[in-house]
Amino acid sequence: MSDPAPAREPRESRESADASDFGNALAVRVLSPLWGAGRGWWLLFAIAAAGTLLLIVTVWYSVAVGTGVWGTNIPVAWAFPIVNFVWWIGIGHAGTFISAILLLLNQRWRSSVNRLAETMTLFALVNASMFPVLHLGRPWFAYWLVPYPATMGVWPNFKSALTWDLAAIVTYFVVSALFWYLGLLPDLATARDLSPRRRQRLVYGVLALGWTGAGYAWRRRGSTLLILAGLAAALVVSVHSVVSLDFSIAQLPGWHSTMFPPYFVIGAVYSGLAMVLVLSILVRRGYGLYDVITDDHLERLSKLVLATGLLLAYCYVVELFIAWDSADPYERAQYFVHRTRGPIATAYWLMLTLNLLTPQLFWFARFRRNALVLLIAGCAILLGMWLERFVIIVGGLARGFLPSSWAAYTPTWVDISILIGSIGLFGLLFLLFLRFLPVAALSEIRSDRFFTSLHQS
Amino acid sequence: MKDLISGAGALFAEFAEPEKAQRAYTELRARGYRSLDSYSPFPITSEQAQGSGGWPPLAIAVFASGLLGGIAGYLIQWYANAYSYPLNIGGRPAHAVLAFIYPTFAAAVLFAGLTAFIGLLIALRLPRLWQPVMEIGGFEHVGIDRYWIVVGLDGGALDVDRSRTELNLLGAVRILDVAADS
Repeated sequence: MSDPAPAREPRESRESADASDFGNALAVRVLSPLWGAGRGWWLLFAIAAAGTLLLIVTVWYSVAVGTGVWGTNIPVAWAFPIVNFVWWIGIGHAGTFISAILLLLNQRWRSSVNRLAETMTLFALVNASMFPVLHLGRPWFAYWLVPYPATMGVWPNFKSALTWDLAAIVTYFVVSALFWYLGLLPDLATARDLSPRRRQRLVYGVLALGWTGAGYAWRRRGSTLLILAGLAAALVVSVHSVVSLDFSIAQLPGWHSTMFPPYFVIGAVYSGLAMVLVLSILVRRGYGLYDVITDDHLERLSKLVLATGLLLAYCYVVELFIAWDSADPYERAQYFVHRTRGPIATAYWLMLTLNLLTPQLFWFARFRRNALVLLIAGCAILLGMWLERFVIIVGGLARGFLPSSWAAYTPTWVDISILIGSIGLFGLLFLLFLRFLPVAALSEIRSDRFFTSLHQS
Repeated sequence: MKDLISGAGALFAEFAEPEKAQRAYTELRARGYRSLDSYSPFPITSEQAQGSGGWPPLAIAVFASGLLGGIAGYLIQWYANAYSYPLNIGGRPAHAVLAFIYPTFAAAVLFAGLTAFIGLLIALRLPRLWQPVMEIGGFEHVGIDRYWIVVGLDGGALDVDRSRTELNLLGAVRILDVAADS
């Protein structure tokens, strides 16, 4: 919270200030939060820490007493934990989309938000990976999913989607972390060189691994980033496809669909972009980085939200059409009776409203460039996407083939507390990132601006 | 390219502006200097920024280890589920090729990604807590606002005085003659 945010400054002057600033001033400003935290940061940190405490207590309670403290029960054997898992891992996808696919497409503007987005991916994955483990019921046996030569001689069953999820999450986390760290390396070196105190200099020096910014190192790093981007681009589409298989390999009405992989990937990127919008607007305001994350950048992000939102709308329509076209009474009942008029009807209609109507705002330039509208829209989409997973998971399980085994689902206070707590944990990790690591991809931004100024002169 | 400083010694020219450093780099390259490098807080040439031209050795290593990872991933699944302890679940085949596809792919990507990252660190000889260049006075500004062009001396094949003049004319703030392995 270094500079007071120049919120009322006209946009023109904000943008004219940025084009030539690739020098020292930008680095000093972006790195200033590393040397001390303001009151606002501590306030948010306290709130996030309280949320994390709530998570720790409720997770401890769930593990100590058992999963009976959740609303999860037969037939709704998958509920909040799996909804939260799919939601968080979906949010993570936008980070990889921005860092990998936009890098391969040579979209320079990504450098303004890619650090935020990549960090968000990592922390969203931390949250996501927690839920399937908790959902095992006996999380201390989670390591049984890893194929290791046990004395018992039994192995994980690789025909189960659970082991696929493990493979997906581990690979996704490792590759995202490598990509993130490689991007961070030169900025850590800048932090090392700017450190006012010896201790900070030591810590950032070790983290920077001895980076000196040699020309050959830049070239090698550039090539390696492209290779990693190619690998990560495959993960953008594959990870959430595998998550969707958790559902579509089952025979439940509402789950058993070949459309699920692309449908889930689109929803994932959509929700993740909404999260990037929310985070970049908040960070921009908190740190006064109006020249790093400009209204143009927000506008591009919101166009991506609109595009993915339209794709998602198409998926919703196709889903309904296929259900009707199947002529299967269970499938038709799931989509046209249970969802629209059943116990989860409120969630269903709210989901449709939030996910389909919100992005339509972004047809208009004045909304695309209005940070407050974007912030509210981003939150609305995040809520809508959480509801989508709730509708699919709980709605499907509560209304299976046998009417005699239909049941209602109600979350308990533990379910709700764990969800709130996971948002707290995400906030805590993100605040620590804001405090201790360079919040923007400095070297890339400076390099982009440098080349722009070279071309202009 | 290796560290120029560990070869026959080099001329280190410091620039205060990236434009001048970038121009010096392209100029000297055009004049035929071959062992030429730079140090800067951000990429100052487009090939530094984009890694253009690729890096075949790393690409080959990444591909090979991806292949190896995929094979290993598949073999583990085959060994666990089809050979060591086949389970009959609803009469489904123990050797389930389709079910094994995703973990195979994930293992391939995991191996390839780790190889790319570790391969880069090996090639750059990182992590290093100390490097000879860090002994140059004022080099700690290289992460902030100083730009260095380094001309390798090619074992005395170069006219040092002429290079020095050229660097001066290109706008170097100061020029240091750094001896090899000092």
